[in-house]
Amino acid sequence: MTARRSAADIGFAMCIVALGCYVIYAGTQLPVGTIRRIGPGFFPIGIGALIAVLGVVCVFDRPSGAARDDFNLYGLAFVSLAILAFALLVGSAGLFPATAAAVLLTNVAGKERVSPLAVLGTIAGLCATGYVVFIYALRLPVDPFAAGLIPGG
Amino acid sequence: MEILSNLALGAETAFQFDAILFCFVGVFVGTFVGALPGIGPLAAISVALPLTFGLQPTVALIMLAGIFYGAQYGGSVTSILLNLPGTASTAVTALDGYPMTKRGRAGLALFINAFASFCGSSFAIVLVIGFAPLIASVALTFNSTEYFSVMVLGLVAASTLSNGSTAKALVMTSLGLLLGLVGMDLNSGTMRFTFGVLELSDGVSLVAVAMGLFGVAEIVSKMTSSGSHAARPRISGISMRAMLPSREEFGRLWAPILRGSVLGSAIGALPGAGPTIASFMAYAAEKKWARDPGKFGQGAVEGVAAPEAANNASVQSAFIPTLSLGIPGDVVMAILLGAMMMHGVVPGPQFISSEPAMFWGLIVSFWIGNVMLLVLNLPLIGIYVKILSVPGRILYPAVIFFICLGSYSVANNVFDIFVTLLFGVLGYVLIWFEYSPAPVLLGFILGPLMEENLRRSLVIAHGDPTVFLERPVSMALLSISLLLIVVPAVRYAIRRSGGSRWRAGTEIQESEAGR
Repeated sequence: MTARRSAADIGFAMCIVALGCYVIYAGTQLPVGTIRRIGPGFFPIGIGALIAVLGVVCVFDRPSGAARDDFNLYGLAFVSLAILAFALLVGSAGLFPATAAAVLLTNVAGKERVSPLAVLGTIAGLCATGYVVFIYALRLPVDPFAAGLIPGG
Repeated sequence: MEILSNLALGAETAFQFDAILFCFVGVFVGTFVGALPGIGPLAAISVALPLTFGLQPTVALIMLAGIFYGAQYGGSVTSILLNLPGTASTAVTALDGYPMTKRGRAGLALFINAFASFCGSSFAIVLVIGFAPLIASVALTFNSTEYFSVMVLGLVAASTLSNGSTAKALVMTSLGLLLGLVGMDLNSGTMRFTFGVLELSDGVSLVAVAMGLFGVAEIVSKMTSSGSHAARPRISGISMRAMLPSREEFGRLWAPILRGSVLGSAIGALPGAGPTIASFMAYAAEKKWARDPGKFGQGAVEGVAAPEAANNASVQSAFIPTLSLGIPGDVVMAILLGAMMMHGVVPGPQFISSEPAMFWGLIVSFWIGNVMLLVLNLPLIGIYVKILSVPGRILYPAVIFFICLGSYSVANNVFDIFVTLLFGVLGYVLIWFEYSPAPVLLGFILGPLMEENLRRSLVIAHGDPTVFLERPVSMALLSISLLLIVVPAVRYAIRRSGGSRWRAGTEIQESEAGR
């Protein structure tokens, strides 16, 4: 278990080094300027170098040894889907359908046993809150239900 | 008597109906989220930030600040009653608070919590009044070179003083600096790291980054570590009489509260060392001072009073660098600073003189908020305990909903929801690999400022980078930064070679910080 973890940790630290190297490269593609008048590429190169060096240190950094939960890919995936669904639906279908989708998918992600009544109650409550706070008070340009199927809200 | 007229100006602002109302909303929400083990003040402020766009800047800040200090009260309530710290900074309160509850003295513990918190906050507010304008007037003589160095120190201190690996924290800070660069470079008009995405030309949205890293990621991790919802003891009604300490106990409280306040204020004003370190250090100091250290952990009143005074004091004194220099000491301050910028307020040493009504109004509102907390908290404890039983299946969808709609509302654009999602995934991955994402936000806020000050310094010095070492203040600041990195690294190396298997566990780090 520990070995696998530290392999993953080292891999992740390597990714950080790679990111740093990429940032240095991207910085050199921008005008670097001179030390007297630094250009837009100067600071990124510095930060990229910093990230790369620190990444190398992290490769050798030992994990804290604290117990870690397993990576919750399932939860992460469904929470992501919930947010994605909201983003895609809020313009095309309206706030209420988007809210319903987000609530349902978050419940799936949580793996807790939920009664249908509680889900409906949560959806209704959040829709009402969304309507009062965001549409009525903050005047957000979204409709509870989209009139037509115009994407992009 | 300038201070009196300034305070009068502040009172004028803070006693407006709006200000009082939203101060109340802030401290109430703060207490609530502080009490909930699921979400902390960071997530709450991130989520509340877009909601404040319709408000006046001063009122918005009053409310956001209220969430921060309100959370310290709320977190302690659950530490004492349920042994479940709502926020990390109140974990130490549970050490003696919960034993008091078990011995039937929950009321007294809660009273001490509220009273010590109030004293600590008040003490620190006085310090803010005294020091923030003073530091600001000194800082007005700084030029870009000193500024750059102050920021370096701020970022380094925040990375090294926090718990966990310094290298990882510095990586996160640098990542934040990088994120701060995204968008159009204001000097040359060059697009940087936008990958051709038009929406990114204004940079990444602070709200999206904060809500992703601290909201979405937090929820996914909470979903993973279940079990905290099990078995809650029932708290029966607590009468007012049970809350009041005896005269003898009252006499024992003064000194710990005072020591906690002083320690907390000092720590809070340092960049990087927030309420968590303050409360742990106050507890450790109290144990050292005590004639009878054995009573700690068994329900010692001092063990509740000192850390509570300290964490609340540190929360208030954290405003000193933020308001006087425009340099946030921790993440929450970074978000507040970001909120100020979004409301068009320029933070920095000129803030106090150019926006006196806002500065003094904010200060007076701290006091109002703390009085509200003191008055409200005692009778409302029963309600908080009930709120605590809000199950995850309702709480999590609600937070996700607010995150989605909140990030949408920043620019009325679906794009920001995608950005939030991206940072949510990134945040969870980072947490899982034990990279605490908090410093990202500090770097994110300070990145553009650092680049600008670096550029200016080099222009003024005709391209001579040694200017940072020639100016004495700058030299001192950079030396301290270097020491902060080198000293722990050397110590670590010595320990390792000494053969003692040393783990970078939280407790060791805390006692380390206590020396």
